[in-house]
Amino acid sequence: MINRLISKTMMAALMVIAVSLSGSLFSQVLTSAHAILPEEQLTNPVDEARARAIADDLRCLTCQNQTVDDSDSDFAITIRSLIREQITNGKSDDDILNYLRQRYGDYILFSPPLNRLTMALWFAPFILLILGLGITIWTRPRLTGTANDRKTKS
Amino acid sequence: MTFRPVFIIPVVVFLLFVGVSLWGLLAITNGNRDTQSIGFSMQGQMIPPVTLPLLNATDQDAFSLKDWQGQAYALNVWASWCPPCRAEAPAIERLSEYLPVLGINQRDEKENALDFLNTFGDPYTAIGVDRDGKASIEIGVQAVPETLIIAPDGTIILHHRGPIFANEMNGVIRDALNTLGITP
Repeated sequence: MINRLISKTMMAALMVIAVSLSGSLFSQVLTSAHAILPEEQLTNPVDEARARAIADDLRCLTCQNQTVDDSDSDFAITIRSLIREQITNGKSDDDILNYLRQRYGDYILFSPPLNRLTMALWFAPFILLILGLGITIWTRPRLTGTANDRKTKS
Repeated sequence: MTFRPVFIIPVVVFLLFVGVSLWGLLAITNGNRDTQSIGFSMQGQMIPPVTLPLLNATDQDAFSLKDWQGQAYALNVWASWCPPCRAEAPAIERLSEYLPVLGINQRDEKENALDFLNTFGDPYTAIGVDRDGKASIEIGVQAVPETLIIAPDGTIILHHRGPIFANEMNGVIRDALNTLGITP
C-alpha cells in the first residue's frame, strides 16, 4: 500500500516536471514584449516584423532571462538597432543570426539548435512525459476485474 | 499487495532529476563549475577590423585596428560611467608596461571620458570612441569593462569579460603574455 502511495506521488511529481519542462520550451511563443520604442522601428512593416521576430529569439546577455526584444538594456538596444541596420542593408535572417552567433555563440539564441550537446535538452521532457504516461497505463487498476468481483459478490 | 518492480522507475527517475539539479547548484556554489566558461567569447578568433574616431582628435576614422596588424596589443573597452572600470584602472596601467593598450570608450560623453583619464590615469596608446556601442558588438563585447589581448597575426588570444584585478593579472593575463613571449 505504501509502495503504491510513494510511487503515485513520485509519478505525479514526474508528470509535473515533464509538463513544466516542455512548457518552458514554448513559453517564448506565448509572451509578447513592449520594450521597443516607436523611434527604433522601421517604416516597412514587413521588415519591422522580421526585426521583431529575430530579436524575440535572442537572449539579452546582460539581463536575467530576458529577450533582446523585451529588454531596455544598452546591449539589447544596440542589438535591436544593429538588426534593423542589417535588414536595411539587405541581409537575410540567417546572415544576422550567424553574425551574432560568431560573436556570442549559440548561447545568444533562446531556442538552441538541435545538436549532440543539446539532444537531452530537446528530448528529455518528451521522454519523461512518455515514460510517465506509460507507467500510468501499465500500473492502472484492472477495472474489468474489479467489476466482475463486485458482480459475484452481490 | 505484492511489490511490482515497475513502481521503482518513477522513483529512480525522480531521484536522478533531483540529484542532477542539486549537483548543478552545489557545483556552482562550491566553485567547481566555472560559470565563465558558459559564456562564449571571441577568444581564438580574428579581431575584426574596427575603425573609430579618436577621442583626442577631430578627424574621422583615425583609430583603426588594422594599423596594429603585425604587433601584439591589448584592447580595453571602458566607460567613465562604469565603476568596475575605475576599479581596474591600476591593473590596466600595469598591463600597459608590457604591451601597448588601446582603449575603446563606449557610450560616453567626451568631457566625462577626459575627466576619467585625468583622475584614474591614462595608460592608453590610443582611444577610439564607440558612441553607439556598435563597434563593441563587432568585437563581441557584451558589457564594459572587457579586455582582449591580440597576437601580431590578429588572433585574439584572450577575451576577458569583466574587470581585471590582481587575480587576473597573475592568472589569465600572465598566461596570455607568456604566450606572446612577454614575461610579466
